[in-house]
Amino acid sequence: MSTNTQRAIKLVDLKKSFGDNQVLKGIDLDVNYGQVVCIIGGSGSGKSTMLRCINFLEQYDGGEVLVSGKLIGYNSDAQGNLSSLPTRVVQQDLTDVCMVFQQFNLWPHMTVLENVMSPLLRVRRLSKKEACEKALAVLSKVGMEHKQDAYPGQLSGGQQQRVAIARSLGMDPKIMLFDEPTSALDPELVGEVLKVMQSLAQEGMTMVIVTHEMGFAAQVSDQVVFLANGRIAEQGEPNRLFNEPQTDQLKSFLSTWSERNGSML
Amino acid sequence: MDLSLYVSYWPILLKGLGFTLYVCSIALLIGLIGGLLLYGLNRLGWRVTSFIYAVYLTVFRGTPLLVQVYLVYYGGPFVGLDMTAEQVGIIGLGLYVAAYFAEIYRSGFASIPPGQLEAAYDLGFSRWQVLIRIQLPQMLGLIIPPGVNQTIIMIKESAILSIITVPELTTAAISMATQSFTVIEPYLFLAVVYWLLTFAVSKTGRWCENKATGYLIRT
Repeated sequence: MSTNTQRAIKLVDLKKSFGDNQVLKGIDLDVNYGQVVCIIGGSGSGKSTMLRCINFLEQYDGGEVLVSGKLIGYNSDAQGNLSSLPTRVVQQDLTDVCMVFQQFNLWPHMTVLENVMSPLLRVRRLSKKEACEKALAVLSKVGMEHKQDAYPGQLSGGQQQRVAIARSLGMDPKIMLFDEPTSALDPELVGEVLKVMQSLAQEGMTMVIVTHEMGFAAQVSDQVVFLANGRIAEQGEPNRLFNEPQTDQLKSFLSTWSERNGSML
Repeated sequence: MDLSLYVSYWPILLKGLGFTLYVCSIALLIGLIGGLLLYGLNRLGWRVTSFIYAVYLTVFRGTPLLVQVYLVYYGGPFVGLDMTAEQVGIIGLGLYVAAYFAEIYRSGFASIPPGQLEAAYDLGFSRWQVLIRIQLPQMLGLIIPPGVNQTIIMIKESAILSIITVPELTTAAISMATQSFTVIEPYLFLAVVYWLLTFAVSKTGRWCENKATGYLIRT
């Protein structure tokens, strides 16, 4: 099957526990190529865990994660028994998926340019010249090429996050996961990061975004998913979901949110 | 103070200083490599290796170096362990600091935020690449201050080896004291020379630290 007819991401009855605490209690979700899906929900609802299961930063212990139709992390034999795959293979299967983290996770001992070039040199095995050209191209895309020689510690949070996005973009991902990308930022820096994400969405990047930015979610997403207690409590188009919440959980979540942030949309 | 004493005793003192430098260099090497091996042993995460690591640390950090070398040098022959004073001194000091260096390595690796490693794995780095490209460059800078600290302590602790007649600096000064019936001259000399040694180590360490952690300095 070609990737056009494949779902970008398919979660089937996804479950994950930390010790006795079951964080994900069976999640089903489809994300098509080109779609932008925002995940909202209170803290502890399982948003980040769900996202981290998709690129196997967390090993899920029930259900399935499929990326482009491929089962991630496990090998399923004819009887349906699962066996863990080696890290190398999992990484191979996730080549098209990149994550952007809340804490940026740039490498502080490398300059901006080195941060973006490093995976191109070490993983993609590009020549130094190719890697440098590619790195500068993605840096200019996020408006950070003028800081190429700075160290992460010399940048603002918003600038660091833009560099982190550039570092991911360098790997030509088809799917990008954002784990609360603006939650660690000062309010005045949130906009510059959202702007970059918005332009990615317009270019047709497949994106799954865990966020607390309701206005942004309403604006860019094709689908909003509301998570509560490890389950999808409600999902749908942003307009419908924000204006006519069906469940009490979402109603109270949204009203708490607007009390704190004033008018929402 | 009789400065002419130094004229007649300088060959002994210089020889002692040379031996102290020799003992400390080899012991430092044993400590650095041994500490890394110990850290690796612990990182394997097996119950046996973690147990060995814990026992090693308890024994070598929990008892005085003086007692350790005394026990091995004077007690060793009773259990068939026949080593020269130099061997006991160098190996003893080396194994002793290895325990401390193992913990320094551990703290160095532990102070790198795990998110940085996650990002690297997410981008496709192998375990080895993460170690070489992300962990080591940062960790080496982070462990310089505690490493220098430990080295300074070790240099001063090496004076203890005079107890088991290792012919190092303190032994030389003691023999100068007993032969010339003086106290001030030999011990003042000792104090100054140990200070010079540790001062040099501390300055070198600071220089290395600045080189290795330049990226942390904000403009």
